[in-house]
Amino acid sequence: MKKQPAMLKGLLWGLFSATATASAFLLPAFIVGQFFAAPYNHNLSPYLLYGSIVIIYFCALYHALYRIKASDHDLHLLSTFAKACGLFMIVTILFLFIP
Amino acid sequence: MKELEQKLEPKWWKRTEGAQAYHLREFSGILIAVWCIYFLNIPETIGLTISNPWYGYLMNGIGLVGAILHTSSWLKIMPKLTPFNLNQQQQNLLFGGLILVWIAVSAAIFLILWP
Amino acid sequence: MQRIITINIKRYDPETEEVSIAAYKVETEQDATILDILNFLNEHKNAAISYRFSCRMSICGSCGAMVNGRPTLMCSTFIRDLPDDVTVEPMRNFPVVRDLVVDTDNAMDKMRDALPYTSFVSKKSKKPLKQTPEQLKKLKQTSQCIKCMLCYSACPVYAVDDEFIGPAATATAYRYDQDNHDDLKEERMDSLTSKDGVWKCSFVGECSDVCPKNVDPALAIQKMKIMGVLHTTKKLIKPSKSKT
Repeated sequence: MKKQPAMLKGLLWGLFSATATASAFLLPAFIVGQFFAAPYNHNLSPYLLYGSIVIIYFCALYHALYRIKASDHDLHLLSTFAKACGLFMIVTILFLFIP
Repeated sequence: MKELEQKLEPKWWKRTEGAQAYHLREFSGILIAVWCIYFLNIPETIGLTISNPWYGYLMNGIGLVGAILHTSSWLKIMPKLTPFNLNQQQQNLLFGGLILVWIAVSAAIFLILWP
Repeated sequence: MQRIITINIKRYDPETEEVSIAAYKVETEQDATILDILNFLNEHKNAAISYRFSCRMSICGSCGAMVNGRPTLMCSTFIRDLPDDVTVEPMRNFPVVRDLVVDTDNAMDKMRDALPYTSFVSKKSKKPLKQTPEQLKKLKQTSQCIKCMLCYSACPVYAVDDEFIGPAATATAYRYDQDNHDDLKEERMDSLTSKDGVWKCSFVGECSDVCPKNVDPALAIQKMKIMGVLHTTKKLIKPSKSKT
């Protein structure tokens, strides 16, 4: 029987590939900038500034979640992700008590 | 006569170096996802204000480790996936070129967002 | 130089459904293979172990098994490369028929999905179709596949989901896709980009690691994914009428 292409899966993987490539180039420098918590460049148009931040964020989030979802059925990463989120909340709450 | 079914053992990813490297690569996705949650200021959104700067350093540190893992593994794979059938030397050159591009893009981000 | 090794063979009897490990101490030459030892055990020790083999020179792909936890061809696994304690088991991810014989029908059926042939029907020219050395170079690596199924044995995705098209079928599809004689690209890409196609691959890379012919199926799958995205986008923009 002739098989039909799974259009959505193809597009989702294509988007993953693009966002992962963008994250590979953009994310490390962006996070290092966040380390210093310096204010953003106010000479930039707000649309350009926040637009680029949104794009970087979307690329990071999409490719990370796609990786977790795609690896779930062989590495059960969803459960590991859930544990990581739990740990994140515990660390966050702990820091409330550390001045 | 019954055939014996064989199932994947739970810690399969420990059995070879390649599988361990794969696991590490995919784990970077979790680190970045945790950073994304922090970056969205979700703790503040739900009423948890944290003034301690070490929290920010820790969360950004987690994100940075994930980002570096992802960048190094992704840029290493990219030269192999071109449609040009490159030999090993050409792939190494392309990898070097991609690292230079990464450095240039990183410098541009610093100059544009935080001059 | 002679050496004494202990070979532990995982055995399965389908009549009693009993799984057991049979251990044999064997004095052998360093340049003997695992297959030589199994033949020796059957001929001289009445071991009656069931296993497949044919060419004894890594061409037919029949003698796949797990040797010390790694999928390999028994005819090209030499004693000199192994420790004194060797474990031989049937290939992973396949149902075991008896002892070291596994049922690979499911994986072999996946080959059909790769449309592993070219079609000359649509070519109207009566001239012979030439292939230059450069054109041959594109498909040479993936054409080395001997369908030994070691890659399916190593693939963790296939282990949990036997609907996945798998490494060998995709490598075969890539071979035909790169062939300048081929004119079935559309149908082949439709098959490969289906729900059980290349999208399920997580790029672990174990398949390429165990391949005895250096076919590199992992790379072939990633390249097919990229082509799959272009194919999917093209279909969305310009849906083609299906050929009857």
